[in-house]
Amino acid sequence: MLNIALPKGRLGDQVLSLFSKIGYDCGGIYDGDRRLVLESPENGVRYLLVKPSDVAIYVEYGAADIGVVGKDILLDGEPDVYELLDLNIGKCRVCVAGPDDYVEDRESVLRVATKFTKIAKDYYNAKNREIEIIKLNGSIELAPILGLTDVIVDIVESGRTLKENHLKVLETVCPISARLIANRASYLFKNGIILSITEKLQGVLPQ
Amino acid sequence: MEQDVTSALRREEKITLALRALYEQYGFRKYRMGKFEEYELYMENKNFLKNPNIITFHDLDGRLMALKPDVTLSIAKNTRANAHSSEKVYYLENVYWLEKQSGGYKEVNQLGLESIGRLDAFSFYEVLALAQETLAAISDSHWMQVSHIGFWVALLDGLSIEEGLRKELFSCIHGKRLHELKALLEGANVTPFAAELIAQAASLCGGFTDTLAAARRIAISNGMTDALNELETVYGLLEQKGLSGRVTLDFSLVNDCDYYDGLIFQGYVEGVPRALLFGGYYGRLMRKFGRNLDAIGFAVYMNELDVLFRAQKGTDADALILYDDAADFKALLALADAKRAEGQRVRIERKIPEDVRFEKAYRFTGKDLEEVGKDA
Repeated sequence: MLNIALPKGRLGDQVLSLFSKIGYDCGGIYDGDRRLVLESPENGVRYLLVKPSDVAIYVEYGAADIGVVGKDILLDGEPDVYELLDLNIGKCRVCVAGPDDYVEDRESVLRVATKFTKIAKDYYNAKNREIEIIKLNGSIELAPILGLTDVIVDIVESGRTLKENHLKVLETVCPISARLIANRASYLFKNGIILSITEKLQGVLPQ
Repeated sequence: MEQDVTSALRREEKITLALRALYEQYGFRKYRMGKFEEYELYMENKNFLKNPNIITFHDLDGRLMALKPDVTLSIAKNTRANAHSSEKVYYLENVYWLEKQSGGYKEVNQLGLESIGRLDAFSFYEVLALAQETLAAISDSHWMQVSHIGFWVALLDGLSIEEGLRKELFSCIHGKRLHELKALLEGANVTPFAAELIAQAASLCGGFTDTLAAARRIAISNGMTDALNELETVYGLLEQKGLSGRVTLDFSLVNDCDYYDGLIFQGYVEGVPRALLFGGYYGRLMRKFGRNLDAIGFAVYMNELDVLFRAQKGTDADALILYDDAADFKALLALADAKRAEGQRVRIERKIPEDVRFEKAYRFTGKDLEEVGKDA
């Protein structure tokens, strides 16, 4: 049985439909219910629906053999896994955003609110800019509005949330999309099925 | 009945004993070292370490010392081997490093061996054979990935790929991120021919013979051919010894070229989610120490076996005997010893302890043992 970790939510639904296109459907039992494990014994796969930020951990520690996860999670956690495919779905960007009228004060330490502490640190390190990171887990957009930080580093899809909160994109840090990842040991012990899934997925990917 | 003294050993301990016997059979000598080393050694060779976070302290002379995070560096630095006399040693040591997930320091039990001197493909074969046998001693279901840093260095040198780009290239290759490798090469100042060759080399992975043949088709320099010839010779000997069945050639396995410059390999066993055996040829490290010698070795992180054997744990005792205030101790002793003489593990208690697993529980009636339920 191949364990596949997927992020709960919209991206997970998209991935399930990709997998069903290549013949690994979850037996038609998934209709947005609250189950965390969907099994398809006839296809030899079991889907684990987990928190998006945990997918890579499930795969790195071998609880899942393969998984689908946003590149943001991979960049921030640096799990030791194989990244086999860019699935070209769940596309967005990690951006630096600030208030509409923001002007950077180069003289002081830049205060940054984010949940992607590593991405933010690497980005500003490369620019040799001293920053203070304030880690938040949600509603990041509030931080500059309340004066908690100067800017935020966060995922931007359409930019609507930013706009509604009178924020704008200042810089793009990196583009993000969903990636197919595999556990290093599973890649050896379950090589046949993992390679076959990778190949078939490659054939149905949106360009 | 004669007691088997090894029956009390845990699985890991039995494997360790068997492996020690195996290494000695190949003439490797046990090497024992101190727990501490001057911090300088590790600071200068940080990239050699799997985990560069080190526990340090000052000794009485004010020198900054480190609790060993690794064994190979000490052996390589202190080896007595020279051009005329080789050294073959194995070790069983605890090392200390920071664990990523918990953020705390961890004591890791490391078993490994090193072969240092003027070496050739036969010496490399011996070390790979021992690595394969080590994996086989741990589990029937195992795999070894083999690669060659010399192949990569010769390819990148041949294509005049600048040093600055190599680290990022290797990071993509190591993660099998071929889609990103392609984008990286497109963005860099690399010819389409070079980009194509690197992408092909990065995807070389699979059965040894086929992958080797595919690698030969893209060999553009003597350095690459030399590396492939070495792989072929070593694999041929593993084949002759019947140890080639679970070996795959995977050029996505790359390591720090500042230290490793030849064969490298990693071992996996089913049930452990990451590699637990790491090995390779580290001639460049020796040259850093000013020694013009060959060196190859591997280490196994025995702690990784916890995951594997935790699920297979049995009971703590075969028989648990319960007694009360009225018990005649002499009769109790005789009954318990009779069971022990049959080879059973017997634990004697007044009440069933909460965290003890046992096969059967008995109540001591005064003259006999009467079997009772597990929740008696």
